[in-house]
Amino acid sequence: MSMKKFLALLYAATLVLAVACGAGKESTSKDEDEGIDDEAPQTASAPATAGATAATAAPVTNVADAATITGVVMLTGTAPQMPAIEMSADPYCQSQHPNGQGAQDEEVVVGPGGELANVIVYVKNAPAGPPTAGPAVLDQKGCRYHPHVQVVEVGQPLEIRNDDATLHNVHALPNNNPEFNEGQPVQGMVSTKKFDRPEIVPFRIKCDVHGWMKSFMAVLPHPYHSVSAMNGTFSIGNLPPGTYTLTAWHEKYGTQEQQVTVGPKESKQITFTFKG
Amino acid sequence: MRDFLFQFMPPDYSAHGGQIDSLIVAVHWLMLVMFVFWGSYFLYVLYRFRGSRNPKPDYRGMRSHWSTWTEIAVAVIEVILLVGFSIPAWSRWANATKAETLSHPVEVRIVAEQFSWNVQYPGPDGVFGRRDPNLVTSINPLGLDRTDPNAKDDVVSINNLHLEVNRPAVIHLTSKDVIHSFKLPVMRVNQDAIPGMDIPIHFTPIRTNRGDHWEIACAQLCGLGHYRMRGQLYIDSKTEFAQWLKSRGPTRVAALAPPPVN
Amino acid sequence: MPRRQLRVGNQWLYAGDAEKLLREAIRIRDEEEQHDKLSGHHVPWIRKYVFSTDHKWIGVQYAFTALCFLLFGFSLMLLMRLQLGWPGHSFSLMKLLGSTRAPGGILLPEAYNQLGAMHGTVMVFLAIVPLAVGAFGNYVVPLQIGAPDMAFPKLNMASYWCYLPGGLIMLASFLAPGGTANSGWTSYPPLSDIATIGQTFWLIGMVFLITSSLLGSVNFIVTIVQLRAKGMTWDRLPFFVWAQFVTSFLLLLAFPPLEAAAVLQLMDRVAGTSFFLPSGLVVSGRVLHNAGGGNPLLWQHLFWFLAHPEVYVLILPALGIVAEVLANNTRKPLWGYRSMVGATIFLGFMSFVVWAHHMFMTGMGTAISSFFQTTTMIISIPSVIILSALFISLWGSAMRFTTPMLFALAFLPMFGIGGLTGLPLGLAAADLHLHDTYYVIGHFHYVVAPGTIFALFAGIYYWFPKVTGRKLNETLGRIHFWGSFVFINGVFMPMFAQGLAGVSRRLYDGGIQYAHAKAIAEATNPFMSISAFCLLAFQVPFIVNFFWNAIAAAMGRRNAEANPWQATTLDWAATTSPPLAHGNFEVLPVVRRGPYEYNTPECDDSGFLPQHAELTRRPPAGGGGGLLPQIAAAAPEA
Repeated sequence: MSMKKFLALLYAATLVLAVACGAGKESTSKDEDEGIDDEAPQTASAPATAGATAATAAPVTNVADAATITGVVMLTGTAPQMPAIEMSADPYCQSQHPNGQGAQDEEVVVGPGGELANVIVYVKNAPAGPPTAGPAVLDQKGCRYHPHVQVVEVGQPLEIRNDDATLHNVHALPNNNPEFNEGQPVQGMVSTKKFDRPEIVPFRIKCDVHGWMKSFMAVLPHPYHSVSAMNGTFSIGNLPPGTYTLTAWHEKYGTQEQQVTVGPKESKQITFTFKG
Repeated sequence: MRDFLFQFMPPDYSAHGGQIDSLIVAVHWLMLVMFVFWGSYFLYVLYRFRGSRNPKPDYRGMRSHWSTWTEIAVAVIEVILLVGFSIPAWSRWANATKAETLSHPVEVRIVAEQFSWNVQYPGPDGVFGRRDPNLVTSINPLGLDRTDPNAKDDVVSINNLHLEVNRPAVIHLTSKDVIHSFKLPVMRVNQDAIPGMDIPIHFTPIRTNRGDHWEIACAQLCGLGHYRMRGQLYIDSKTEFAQWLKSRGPTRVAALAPPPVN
Repeated sequence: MPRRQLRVGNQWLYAGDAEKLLREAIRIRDEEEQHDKLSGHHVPWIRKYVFSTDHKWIGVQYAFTALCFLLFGFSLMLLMRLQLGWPGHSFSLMKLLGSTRAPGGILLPEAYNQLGAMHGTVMVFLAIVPLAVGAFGNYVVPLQIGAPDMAFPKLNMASYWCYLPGGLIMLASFLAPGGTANSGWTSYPPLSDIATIGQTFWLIGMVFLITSSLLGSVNFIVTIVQLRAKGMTWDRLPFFVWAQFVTSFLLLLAFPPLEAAAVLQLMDRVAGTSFFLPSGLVVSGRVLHNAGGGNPLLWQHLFWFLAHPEVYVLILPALGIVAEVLANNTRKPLWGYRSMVGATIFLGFMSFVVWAHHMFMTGMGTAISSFFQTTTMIISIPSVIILSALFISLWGSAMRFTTPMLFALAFLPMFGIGGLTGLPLGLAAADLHLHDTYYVIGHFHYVVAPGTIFALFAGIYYWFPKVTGRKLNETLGRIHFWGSFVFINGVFMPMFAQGLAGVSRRLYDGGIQYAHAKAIAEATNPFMSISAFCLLAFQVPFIVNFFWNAIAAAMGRRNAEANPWQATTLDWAATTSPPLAHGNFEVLPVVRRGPYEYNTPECDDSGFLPQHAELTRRPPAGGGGGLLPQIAAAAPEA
């Protein structure tokens, strides 16, 4: 081989290597993400199986036959006292909560009778269903996330809105989707995101400017999910008749499962009980 | 010159700041003299030796070597500034061993992170509690190990630094993630917070806020929130400072006590 | 049989003789063809214009590419100024950046950081150094020393072809997910280690650019040492060549540490090493598991070990250009040539021992900071000497205010401001207040923008007729100069006030978040931003002037004389727009005197004596005025 050819080859090889390294980084970072232990409890099954189940499940049944699962989530034992979050780190945030109003930590939100809010309840082995219309919304207001916990569907647009006159950065730490970290410096800014892969283990969204801000989000490939309200209730409708595993997830108390069989047009009442 | 520069410069309320300001003023005098000198020479030459006025140039140009003397003069003034002002001022600022001999300083540890200043006071025992990166959570950004006896009385705060007037402050600076820079414009204080290093700095504030709003600025690019990585600086009187520490004391510590189960 | 004869021209030859003649003719033709082939007269288009090994064309390639990057870097700055002038406002211009960077025309902070990092990188590594060294150095140095080409033409080609991919990789990084590099042009880890993938592109791009500079610098050194024309002794070298010579040593010795550092950081990012990551890092609430044992300051030392000499790489060629243009337009020799050369060499040496004055805030003790303050003060002295010599060169001159001269003259006070404002930054105690504020930005922009870039403009106006055979339009040149001069000061002068007020650099909103910075930022930023856009408007005459004349010249419409500035250096002894063949001179010139023999006692009324010109008639002993020595210049009349 002549010197000239050798040099040309070396040159081409270097270029290829450069491009390869560039591409390599992307996959490396993803591996790192998957390797990171989120603080959220991880007891649910692997996301890949859930996706596969959804894909092979029965087609959507006639809505006329659809069953409904409703229920309530309860907490037994003493509920922990949630401290008011101190927001003096950013005077703007503090000014949004005079005397600490509405600044309670939302890790455990319990009603007077032990009703547990912010629990994600979803059908684990659900068939594919009609996607929920319209976008999901994550609002940043008073330096809190609203809602604190939510489910979005694969491909459903998620509108992230900043209603505060301070900088928030939306730092999402998903396990299967690409991580993003986006600043919203101006009040009223909206940015729209989409998740292409399911996240059965809810991941965390946080704000690096305001360390106390966090929100949990699950991404499911079907519409059969609900988040328990302040009174602990949840409701999953339009479900084709069948036997399902119902999963409930709470950021502090982990995961529970129940088997449930519903017939056509049946309405079933379920209760989940977490131990405090 | 001082008045001119102080139109722009923030006021200065630290014991060592005067030295720094004097140096800044002195250097600007030197700059002004040199600029005016060469500037007037330049303008004169542009006028005097333009081609239309002086069509026949002089091959040898300037005969005199006075410029050598100006160069020597500049060198001498620089030596004076360096030896007389800058090195002593820096020595006073950077001499970390001096921190140990300071009488009864307020000791604070500041751990910078994207994008806030975590402030830790050692509490009555005067010893900082142990920190562990594995204990870091959203409500315990320092990763303070509350099982450590030294940590039980530690006082923490985010973005709010309280110091006592006329009492030396020793700040141990470090960072959790990237390089930040801790800057107090009204105290003429600036120091990088570098992960893996614990850098003590010391200064003495000489005036309380009296209603003025003083801030901690981040002076080193640290990411998208760099521009508003801002903290508040309060210089309190002795009683105010004690009260504040007390108000942040055991109750807050109790609230933060249990590290999250998960 | 009678021997017949052939008629050739008006001569009759016998066949045998004719055959000999024919053979001789064929031999000569073959030889000429062979020679043409070797000297590139018939090289294919791609070897002539794309993968050229001719220093002049490589210089033109560098110049064109670098000017494009200069405009690109300038545009990035305009977007930043738009944001700084009116933070958080929606601008339709911002939408150019795409919805991930500026949704609804509102620039995001992370995108601002991208603009900042790339403005610095593009300007320093892709625009100014390639223009000052790659373009001017390549084109002018071999001509000025009377060499037929660079010593290693293929290395020269490789240098350009490392530079261009390096630049393209940098550009491509804008398309990477998460955008381009956003950790500042200094790329301090750990921030850069954990940044988005754009940083990886940046590092790979840097490796290419550094390689390019290394190849170039070796070439310059060998060329200047080996290929000087006969009689071109060291003290007859034009100052520009000296400047390039010292610059090449700086590039050669300073870049390898950064190349190593870039590779280490690349490994940190793609291979999970932790050269720059200390133990126990927690990023965004998560423990960074591959962190441990590294030191972020290592990067800063390696980086500034390059980047401070790099400052002199930016400024020395500019000083060289200014010296050439001043000598030519004052019509007299430079004052203190030898002390200037000495100061330049000393500056080169000293530039390797001042780097840590960029790091006074990293926790330095008194001893080490005193050392670096002292070296910094020492390095200011040769700068003062060079600048003083240039100022004094004006004394007794007959100044011609041509466009290149205007830019060169403006360079002097502007560079002076840049240099003077370096003093408080070099004194650690004063730096305590001014470190990383807009004072620093003002300081180095005065050195590099109205300093170096003005000098580069002077060079473009000055050598354009050499390269193309056309002079740039003087009226447009003057409009370009005066507009640029006024508005560039409008952009940079208020930065000193901001810096004194303690406004930090690299703030997305220009500082209005901070109580101490709000008033001054709001008072000055809109003004500075408007100045920046006016500055853009005054570049239009230059762009028009440049392309109009370049295209006209390419179409063969040449209007400049061979030596339009009546210059003395050898570059003007070569033919105008020398052909792209190795061999710049029809006859290699012999150098007989120093570079700036304007209005010497022995020259005639033309007022200049080129370096290679031969005095045909000796002045009679004790002769007075009225001597008219005949000058036999080799090429210009051809």
